[in-house]
Amino acid sequence: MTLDLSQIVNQEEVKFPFLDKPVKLYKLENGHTVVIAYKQGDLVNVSTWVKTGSINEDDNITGISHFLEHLMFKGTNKYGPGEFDRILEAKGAIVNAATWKDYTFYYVTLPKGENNEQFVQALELHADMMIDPVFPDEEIGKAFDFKNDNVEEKRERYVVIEEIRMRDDQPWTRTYNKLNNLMYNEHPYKLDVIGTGEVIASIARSEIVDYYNKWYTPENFTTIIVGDVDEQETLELIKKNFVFKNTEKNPKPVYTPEPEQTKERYVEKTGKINTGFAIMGFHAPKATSLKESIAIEMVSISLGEGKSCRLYQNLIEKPDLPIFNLIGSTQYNFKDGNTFFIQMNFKPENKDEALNTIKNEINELYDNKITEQEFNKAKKRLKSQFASESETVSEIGEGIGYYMTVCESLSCYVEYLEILNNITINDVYEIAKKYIDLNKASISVLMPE
Amino acid sequence: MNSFDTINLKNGIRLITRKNENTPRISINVFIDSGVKYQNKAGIASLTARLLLQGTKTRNSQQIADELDSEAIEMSIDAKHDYIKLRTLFLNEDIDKALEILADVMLNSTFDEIEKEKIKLQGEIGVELDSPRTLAVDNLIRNMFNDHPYGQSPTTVLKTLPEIKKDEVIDFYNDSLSAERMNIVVIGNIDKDVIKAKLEKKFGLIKQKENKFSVPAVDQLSESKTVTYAKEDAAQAQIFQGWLGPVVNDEDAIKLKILNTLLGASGLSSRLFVELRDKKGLAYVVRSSYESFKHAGLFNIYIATEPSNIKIALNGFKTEVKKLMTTLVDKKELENAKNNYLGKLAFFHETNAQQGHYLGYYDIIGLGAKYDNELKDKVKKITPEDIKDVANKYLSLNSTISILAPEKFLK
Repeated sequence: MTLDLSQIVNQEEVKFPFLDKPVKLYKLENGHTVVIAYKQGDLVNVSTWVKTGSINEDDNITGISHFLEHLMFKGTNKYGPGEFDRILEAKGAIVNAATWKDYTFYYVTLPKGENNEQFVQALELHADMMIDPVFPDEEIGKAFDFKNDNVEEKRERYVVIEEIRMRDDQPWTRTYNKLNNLMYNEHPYKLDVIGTGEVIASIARSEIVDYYNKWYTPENFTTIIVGDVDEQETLELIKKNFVFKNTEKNPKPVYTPEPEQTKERYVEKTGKINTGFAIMGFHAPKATSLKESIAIEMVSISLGEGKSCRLYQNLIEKPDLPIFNLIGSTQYNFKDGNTFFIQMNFKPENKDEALNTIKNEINELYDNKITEQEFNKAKKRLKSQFASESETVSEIGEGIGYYMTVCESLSCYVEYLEILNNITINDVYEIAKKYIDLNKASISVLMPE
Repeated sequence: MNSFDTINLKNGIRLITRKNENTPRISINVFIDSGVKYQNKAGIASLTARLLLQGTKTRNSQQIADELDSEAIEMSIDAKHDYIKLRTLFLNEDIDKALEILADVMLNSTFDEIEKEKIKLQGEIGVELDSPRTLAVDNLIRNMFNDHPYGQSPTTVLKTLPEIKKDEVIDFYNDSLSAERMNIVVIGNIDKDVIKAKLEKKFGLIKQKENKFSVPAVDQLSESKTVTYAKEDAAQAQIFQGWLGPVVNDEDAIKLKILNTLLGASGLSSRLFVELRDKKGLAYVVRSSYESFKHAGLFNIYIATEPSNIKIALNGFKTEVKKLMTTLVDKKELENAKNNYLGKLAFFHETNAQQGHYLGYYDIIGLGAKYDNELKDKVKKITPEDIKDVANKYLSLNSTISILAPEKFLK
């Protein structure tokens, strides 16, 4: 059999500060992107990031990206259900996958073995899973009515429904899901990635197959190899193993933009809990708007990360009887707009005071800009994060996957450090003022019944 | 992986080093023979660990936090069952600053902020107890270890916390900190002689002391029982079944670890995962785990499932445990489990911090840092008969089942 291997149409090199060799990026003729990063050591990480997630869903198919991710492990024409896991885990591999709003990714991390034997096999199995899944009916399980589930044969639909139940029992997740729903009216980001029990119970296999065919195309794939491997051999292996049946090119999807929020939004729920949970969220810049993303990151560090941050020091460390039990902030990066959060847990009798205190701390950001000391601390922390993310093959792989799918290019990585070196306190102040605006806050609260 | 060196400082502190060139961050872990096992009130060890970062003679808690964060030095202190671990990780250029603060918190902490720290800890435990899984674990641990120090759980700490006095914490720490009952593990791009000289200067004054602590024996479970916790809005039942297993330096421990791997810890291909998740769709999370401590071992199986599945899940546990006790494991399956276990060791030894953890842990627990290398041979020797034997020896003993679910499913 002769294989029609895809040719390289573009090639670049990107220097990562904590890696010994530049990272190589290849664009193949069929649209498939391949990235190879050299890291000394026995372990190798193989992953493919697909540019689809809940962003490509609507109410009728909510959760399909994540359900599909589960079903990708249910066998191919060559290997039966579970064989992928069994063969690779018997070699000490860590095998898994994850679905988020902008992407879905599949990975294997394992010792590369003598003469790269295990690496070669892992790559072959991984490629086979990505391009030739068969989605057997009996593994998916019969469709059923979620409200009236008397089904004897429980299969993968139920596994996902249990995952939904698990999340319903986690107070932070419940609070986050309500917030996410509150923050968006139009954009598909409003949907919960895991979807609903109703859809997972009843969605037809054919819809899943259609979704796979539409989005799992070479132009949406970035395959990343990190480890002590030979670049040319690895590239040839990828070309040989990723022979796509479906090379259709779809028009780039267009998403309904989220109208600008103009006033505070609030939602409150209750549960059988003893403490109060709340998350306050703000729409933040697009992940591709690097300077703005970095500025918000620096605000987050000053305000709510680590023990030296303002919120921890002012609201937990200093008061004799703090009303907060936990407090922190973070930024989630998304292609169509990040979100900046402040998460807090407090004594439920002090709910109003807790929320007002946080608002005061945000106002304080405008009255007293972040200090030189806070600014330098944030810079150092972000730089050290790059060192930390270069310590394992999995983190290097995840970093590259993130830059390629959310930030849409690897040059983001290099630009990130340049911008970080040049950003000023005033930049941070102006950008913070633009996004972290109390008139545009969304607040989700979960209280004891 | 490079080999490691063990040298004693003049006062007897064991220094374990491994030079890994081309790594941007140095890891320093200090292990002190202490922890939950030595405490007479639940929470003392945790409070001690926390207070080490809450103020020294010359730095208050905010100054410590500021100085660490301004150089992106990670420092955390944890009290585990058998030790207190001080974990420090920083960019190579910051070694002197990191050592200065590490020595200050270890040698000059005042423990003055104890009342404040109790309040903070109470608050954090309150949040933990809003997680159904934590509630079920809490119930399991209390009922398996009763009054033994290992029976410490979030709710037992809440009870005893108000009684703990500053002097008790100071005594606990001072009695724990003894040169020959601790180690310092340094992994990264640094020469052993350079680090040794720095450590002699900083930690040379720590003395050797007689060990005043004793640990009571852990009683076998006198009966098999089920304990429950009713939570009306739980979407899933949380189910644990626990058995007491071998202690960490028992020859059986490694055999039970391999049994655990093939039963429920290999990832997506373990027996529990395939039988209860893939084939029966009972759960998203189902797994087994085995932790071996100095004075006890805890083996358990866990599932989170729709409350109406409680019976079928417990029967599933029973079937799998019985299979291990009655049928010899297929050679190939055993081989796969061993390779899974050994392969994953590479994954858990990738960073300087991880390597430092294992070397220091094996040393402090009494197996010796070299155990990290010997493990492979011990695993290779395990036979199908060994698996069946340890299954019969430990999983036929009494067990405790802990279930959380809405009331009507608990009858």
